[in-house]
Amino acid sequence: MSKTITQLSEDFVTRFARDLYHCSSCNYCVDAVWPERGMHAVCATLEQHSRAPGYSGRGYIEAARAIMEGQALDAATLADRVFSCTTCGNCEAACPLGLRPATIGRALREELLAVDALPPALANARDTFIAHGNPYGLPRDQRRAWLPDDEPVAQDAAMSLFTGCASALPTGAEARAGHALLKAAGVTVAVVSDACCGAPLAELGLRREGEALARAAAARLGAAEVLVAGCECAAQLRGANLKPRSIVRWLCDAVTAGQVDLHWKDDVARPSSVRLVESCQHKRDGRDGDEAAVAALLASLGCVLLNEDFPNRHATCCGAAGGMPAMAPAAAARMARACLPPTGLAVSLDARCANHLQACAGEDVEVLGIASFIEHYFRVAARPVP
Amino acid sequence: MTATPAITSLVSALGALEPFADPIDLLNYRRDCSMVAAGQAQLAVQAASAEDIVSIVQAAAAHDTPMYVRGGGTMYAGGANPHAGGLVIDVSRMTRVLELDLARGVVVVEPGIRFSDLTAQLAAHGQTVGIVPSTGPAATVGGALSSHALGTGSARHQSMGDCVAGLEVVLVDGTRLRTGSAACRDAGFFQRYCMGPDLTGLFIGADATLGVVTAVALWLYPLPAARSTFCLGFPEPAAAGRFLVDVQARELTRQVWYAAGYEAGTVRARVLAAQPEFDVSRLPGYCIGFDIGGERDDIARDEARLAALASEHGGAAFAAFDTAYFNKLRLTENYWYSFAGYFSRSRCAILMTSLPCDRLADLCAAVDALRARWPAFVWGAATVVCRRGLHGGVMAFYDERSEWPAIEQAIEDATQVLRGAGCVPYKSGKLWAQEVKASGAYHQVLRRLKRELDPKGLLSPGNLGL
Ligand SMILES: Cc1cc2nc3c(=O)[nH]c(=O)nc-3n(C[C@H](O)[C@H](O)[C@H](O)COP(=O)(O)OP(=O)(O)OC[C@H]3O[C@@H](n4cnc5c(N)ncnc54)[C@H](O)[C@@H]3O)c2cc1C
Ligand code: SF4
Ligand code: SF4
Repeated sequence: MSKTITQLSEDFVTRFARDLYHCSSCNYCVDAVWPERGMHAVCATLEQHSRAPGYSGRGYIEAARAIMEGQALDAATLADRVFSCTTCGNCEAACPLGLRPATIGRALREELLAVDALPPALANARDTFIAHGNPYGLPRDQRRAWLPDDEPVAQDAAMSLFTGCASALPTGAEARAGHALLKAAGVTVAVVSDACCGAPLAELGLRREGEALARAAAARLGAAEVLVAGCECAAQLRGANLKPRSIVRWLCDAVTAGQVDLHWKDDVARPSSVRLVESCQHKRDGRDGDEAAVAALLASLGCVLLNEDFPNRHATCCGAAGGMPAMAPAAAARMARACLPPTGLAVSLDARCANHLQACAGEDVEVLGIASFIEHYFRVAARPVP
Repeated sequence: MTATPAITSLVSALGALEPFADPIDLLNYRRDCSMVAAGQAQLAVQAASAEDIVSIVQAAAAHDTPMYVRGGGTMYAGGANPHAGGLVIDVSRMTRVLELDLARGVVVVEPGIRFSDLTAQLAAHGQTVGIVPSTGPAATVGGALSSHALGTGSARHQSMGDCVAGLEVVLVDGTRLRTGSAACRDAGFFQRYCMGPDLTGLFIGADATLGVVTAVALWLYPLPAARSTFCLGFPEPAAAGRFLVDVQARELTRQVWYAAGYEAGTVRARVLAAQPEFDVSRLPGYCIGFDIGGERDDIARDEARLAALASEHGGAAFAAFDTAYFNKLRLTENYWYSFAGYFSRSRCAILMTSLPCDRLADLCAAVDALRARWPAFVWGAATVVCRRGLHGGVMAFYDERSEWPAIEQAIEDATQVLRGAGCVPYKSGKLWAQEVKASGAYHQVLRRLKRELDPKGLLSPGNLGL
């Protein structure tokens, strides 16, 4: 007989009982169409993976409440639903009562791990991570492969650069480009490229293990200002009491403050237009200020942005996050393609999204991470101090 | 729950439509927004077209399986809760605009389209539809017309049914019935009343008891050039009721997009939350908010007329409520959930009630009585002004974890109290069914129609208890 989940931990009940009983079953988190809030499809999982309502924010609330009220649910079926969630947070943004269906879904992962119900594809992902310290299964020392051999150790640097898994691997393109931009802007950073912030583990429901890695990474980073390339890293490190800034946000701020100049390169043909791919993790993390800053900077440089109303308050997930890429790669690819223009250049502010989008894009679309984009098309230089 | 042989066989009959049979997926189909007890479907299926509905209904009928129809599932009456188990037909994926005929002033849509989606599409043409409930992002057109929705537009048109030009309905034997002018072959939807009795009306407010609505023709109305809100305060509800009698007699609501009345307690809470220093002696005993559309000059003229009429009943403009709440509710935040109390308790039990304007004071007295009799709950009432008469929503906020059984009793009591106050309570699960049953001949005719159209009683009994 298949395994069931029959109870929730006390911690879960304490944290979420209020949400479970406040939920009005209104379905806004499932499929509201709310143009005033820029919302046309709430849940990418429902749109691209399965229409079964168990894969929705309300589905997680209903399931948790049913367990709390004594119903035994099939653990593997529930695990399939909650681990597929991309954790984009759109369901929370749609909830008129401010409830937390996505957070409840994440917490259900921990409950399911307690009954040993991690879906097989994710058990493989977890084992890969444990063996290699990164979700790509690449050798540990490849994390630093992008760093020039002659890079000095910047011991007294005022800033640290934390390149998470997605920018340092698999190609290291975003880490290399971000680092090059900082260098061109005259900034010396202490690079920490051989650590993971623990976000991939937390996403698998191993919250505590993920937090431990974040604390270890934070200790390595010290008190200096921390710059990051990945959005998940930023959120995870924030949980370890750091206040990281993205490289591109630093650059935007520096240009605005008149410390750095940014000009189109004369010897590279300008793109006719650019689609900025919005990141749900940015929104969830409350960092859409980054997106607005980038959009304003690019617009001020005469870059033609294809986005309407950028940044929106919500973004539909590109499928890079959550269990989707491992559990249902075809659905994850559909999510990616739904975020891309049919042709031309797409730029993502998040390194993990950029990797995923690149892997899924058709031949007519080029996808770049934001640092790679800026490095390719723009000349960056520190403005001489008068 | 183990599937019965009939359900197993129905699953294979519906195979191509990929029905949901897993208990985890079926949890979302247990209930709507009401406090009515949840049901437990054995199967749910999402239809994508009217053709799908025909095959679903025929397959379910062949398997003697009870059927429930679900749009957005936002009703507060439990009509879509599958109390007899069986099959839930989910129409929320039927979201197409089938025809937009600006010349005839009609839009034909599939029943699952959300109001916010439809109004956004129509806004591109400077048009809108007559009635929009406050749950527009989730409520479907089919669900709204099957449950007598009201809200924005009620002051101009009355109820959802008054804005419908015709329907397509699939009956339980698979017949596709078109009503209004579209009943005549090839004529299309442009006129509601033509050949004979109004069969459209038979399915409006019918709660999926007689058929599944698969297309809805709605009349179009031009969007106003501008909108503006303002509020009038009255010394007590009776004066506000007399004012509304006069307003409706003079047809002063033609350009009113929405108007609603609020009790003293709500007004006080809203105003003091926004302006803690507000002089409480200036708070009115009842307040009516107006959202008016039109050219700027027309709006100013309408506001002046309403204010002049209000003064004949002891009323006057009360801007503090407009700034504190009404303007935000209508023109900025535009959703209903901001209602006080929702967050403090848990769910909200709503008992709708129709009433003539001259009974407004009785409604308020009834709510006061309920407050005294059921002090455990947070009670409130909001009243939507219609072209004729009012629709009141009496709300009780309750803690679902501990008070679910008790709230049912309280709402049952509220039904009696409201009837005693000359109101017509409806939209509250089995209580509504009891009201319909008590109506005598009206109920008997409905029963005969139900027997004729759904002889085995497989379609939902709805809140009408049919
Ligand atoms: C907070 C809140 C505020 C609300 N405000 C308003 C308001 O301002 N005005 C208002 O009128 N209502 C209001 N409602 C109630 C509800 O949102 C609306 O009446 C809405 O129109 C119902 O649409 P739905 O698609 O959610 O219907 P459902 O809940 O899905 O269905 C309602 C009924 O119609 C039947 N049905 C659904 N689709 C079909 C179909 N295609 N064919 C046949 N039968 C069908 C169902 O079986 C059910 O009996 C509110 C509810 C809440 C929770
Ligand atoms: S977090 Fe995103 S993917 Fe997950 S249930 Fe919510 S809307 Fe769907
Ligand atoms: S979680 Fe929020 S949006 Fe989702 S059904 Fe519950 S109340 Fe509605």
